[in-house]
Amino acid sequence: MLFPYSREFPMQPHSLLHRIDGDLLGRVVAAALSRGGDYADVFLEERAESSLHMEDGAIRAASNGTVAGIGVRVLAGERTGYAFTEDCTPDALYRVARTAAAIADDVRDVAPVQVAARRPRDLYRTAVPLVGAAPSERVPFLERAPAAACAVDERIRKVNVSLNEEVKTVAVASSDGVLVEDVQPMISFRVMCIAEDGDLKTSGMSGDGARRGLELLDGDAPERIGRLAAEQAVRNLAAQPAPGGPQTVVLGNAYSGVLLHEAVGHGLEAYFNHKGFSRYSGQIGEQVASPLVTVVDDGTIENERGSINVDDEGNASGSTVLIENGILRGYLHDRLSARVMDVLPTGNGRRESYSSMPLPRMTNTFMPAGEHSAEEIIASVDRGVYAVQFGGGQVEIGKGDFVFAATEAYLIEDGRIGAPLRDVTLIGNGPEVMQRVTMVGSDYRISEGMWTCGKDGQSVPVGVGMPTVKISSITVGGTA
Amino acid sequence: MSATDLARLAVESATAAGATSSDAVVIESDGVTVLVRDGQTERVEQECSRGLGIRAYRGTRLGLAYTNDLSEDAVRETAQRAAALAQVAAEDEAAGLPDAADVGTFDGDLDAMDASAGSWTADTWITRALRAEHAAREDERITMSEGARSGGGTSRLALASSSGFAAVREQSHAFTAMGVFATGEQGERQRDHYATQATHLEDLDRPEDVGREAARRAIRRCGYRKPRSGAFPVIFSPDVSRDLVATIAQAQAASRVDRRATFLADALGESVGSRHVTVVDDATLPRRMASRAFDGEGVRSRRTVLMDEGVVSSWLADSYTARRLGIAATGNASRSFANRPGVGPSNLVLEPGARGPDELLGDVEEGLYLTELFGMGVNLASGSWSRGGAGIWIEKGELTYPVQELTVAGDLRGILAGVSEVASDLTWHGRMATPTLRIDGLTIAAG
Repeated sequence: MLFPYSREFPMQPHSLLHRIDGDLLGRVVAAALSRGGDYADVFLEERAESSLHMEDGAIRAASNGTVAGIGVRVLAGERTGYAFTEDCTPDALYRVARTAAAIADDVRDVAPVQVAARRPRDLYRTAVPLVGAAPSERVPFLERAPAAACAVDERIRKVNVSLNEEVKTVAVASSDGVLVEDVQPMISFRVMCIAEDGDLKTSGMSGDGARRGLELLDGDAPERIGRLAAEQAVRNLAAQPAPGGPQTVVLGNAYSGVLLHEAVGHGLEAYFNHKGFSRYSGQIGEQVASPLVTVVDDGTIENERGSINVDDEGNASGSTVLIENGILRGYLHDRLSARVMDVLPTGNGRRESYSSMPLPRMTNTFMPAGEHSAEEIIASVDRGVYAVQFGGGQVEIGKGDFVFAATEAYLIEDGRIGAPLRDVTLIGNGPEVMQRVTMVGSDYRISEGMWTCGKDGQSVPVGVGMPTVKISSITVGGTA
Repeated sequence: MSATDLARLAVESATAAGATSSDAVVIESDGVTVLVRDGQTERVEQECSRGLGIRAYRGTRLGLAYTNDLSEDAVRETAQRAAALAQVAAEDEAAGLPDAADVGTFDGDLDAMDASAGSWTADTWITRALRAEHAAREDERITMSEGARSGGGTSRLALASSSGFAAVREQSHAFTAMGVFATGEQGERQRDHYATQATHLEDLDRPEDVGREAARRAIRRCGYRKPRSGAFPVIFSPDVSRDLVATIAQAQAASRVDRRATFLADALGESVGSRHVTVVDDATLPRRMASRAFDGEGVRSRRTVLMDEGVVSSWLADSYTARRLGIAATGNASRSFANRPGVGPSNLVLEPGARGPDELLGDVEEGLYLTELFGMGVNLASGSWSRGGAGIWIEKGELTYPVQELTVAGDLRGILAGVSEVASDLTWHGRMATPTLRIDGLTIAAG
């Protein structure tokens, strides 16, 4: 058997490589190329997960599971064949290799490919390993959050808490001779609160996550996350309708990175660009944003949620300057887009799991610090909106229009933060809005790890970071 | 071993490991999806996926475990894990398998499986995608293809429980989708798309119609302006009505009511919408994508009126949330193998009205015909609703120029009460059927 499941939960040791027959993988890659494909890779994945869910202070469910599978991809020019199996036997593997191979149509004999193991770096230093501890050891961490949340205000009516732990082992063998493995931990802790006052109900959400161990919850982390969720819900009880129409908007630090992700990042994922789909296609070297704007995608930040040692095609992750002082510098590439555009891959070929082919995707996307203090930026606005926390965003790549939804926002009046505003959507055109960045703060911070990016039906964990930023005008979807 | 036998094995193993009750699902899906662009097959993806999930109770304590290794050893071991995990959760008197009276299968013919599904191959879909793309490019204003996608396959869910229920439900599904870019007279580029999906191949829109509709939608966006800001009547196209109806169904999920995470939490029996709003959840409609004889925990499928002429008449409930709220389960347990069963709608229908969409438009002196909503600006707890949108401006009852980069905002209570008419053009798309409708009281904002 090529890829035996560990019968025990969790699967220990996590390494796949010591259980993989490298020669067999080389023969499978050859089978994948047997119809004339010019590149092939085999992606192996084994994932162990455990989760606890608490409502009203009681654990409602404890769950764990294991999932494993293998995907084979064949490239023939710009064409891709993909097939996967969860039956991890050599026969099944040859079968999916032949299925994927059928994208090409030039039958030939291919000698087995020699693959050699490569060691990736280690960005996920972990003190207390995830998955596998008795769930009862984790329960006290969840119990601490509701108490802290309820202590914020007596109007907190409901508190839900969840803890998810995952250890995912991926391995890639390719016709380039690469054989690389990565063991990727992920912890995520979330609190959701409902506050009520008469007929009024509001929600607050907070969380943290990282590629590290249980030490994420060291110190008062559960209390802190519980309080943040509760404070957001309580503040929203007093929220007023937001103004509608074009406004000066100050974006708070950290979470506002959602704006970069939507307004810039997706449009620079290279698949859209080598096809010419993106609003940013063909603009390398051109001014696409205010000179104050620099945007970087960096998959190498230690322990961050969006970081990876290697991408899901076996390439080392990297740090890519997308926009430098307003000038478009580069795109995010996977192997296919890099080959078509004749550049090096940037380590951004990512996939949700073995059941999906890789696509160019962001890792951690951020704007570095500028020179103004947050206070100066807010003080510079006569009347506008200060948007702090966000429920997510969406972009249409072709024209570049994007929206993002603020779940915590305030009115700015005479340079001071005023009344909280109800949830409000901001809409703009990516390149136009990025031209209107007029001040950048010195308070850069990366957001707590709680973001997941969905594209083409595939979800991957990402990070965002931002200093406080002033945008001279963006449309606010309010009713006042 | 068949899927049902594997589910039974899991249940027996859980019992042997100390569970007092349990149920298990085996979910399997097979299919192919293709992407065609500029007349070339660019991607062929073959799917073949399986998984087993088991929930085990010790009294009223719940544990869940799952695997996609369907060997008998792995299934036994997974069931033992679930039984062990049941010691972690708290006692919960609402927990447990569904009540015996609710368990069973709907006995009508749902016609969920296309007899030809066994012979579908990648070529079935490549041909359809090529036809859709070819038709989309007939109009010279369509300057680029984003690609045509098509695909289909079958899925199966086998469920067995320690109370003796064992059944399988199967379904076929197919789709064709087209995305295109149009270039307007000013050289601006606009993207739009159109898709069709169904259980049966013959129920799909013709590929040529999919391509031409995608093209029509992209072309009608060209030459856009920004609209006036302010309060105007808004006509929701059937596509946009779908978004609203999905939101109503979410707000009426018993799981949300129980968590107080919906603005409707205290509104059962209350009139919150206009008399034009009647929303039905119905898992018993033949050949519809969310039809099924039983839900994810073996509760017999049924038709549930969620909102009856504006009155909140029922929640959507699985057995757990039903017990929590003291109501009957409605057969709305959704289940994947790896997640705790949750509450989800089946097919959703917004009952149509009497007049045609043109008559609704004709009544509007000035307003917005809304063809697209995007973004996540819906807060179901507070009911605040603020979204990005695009559409066509209405003047003197006629569609005039396209409008974009606008927001539409209100609050959900006001929106439901503000539905001043629903048109007769009931349009099915996937698991939802919605007509055009008119809402008064929304605020439009643009730069």
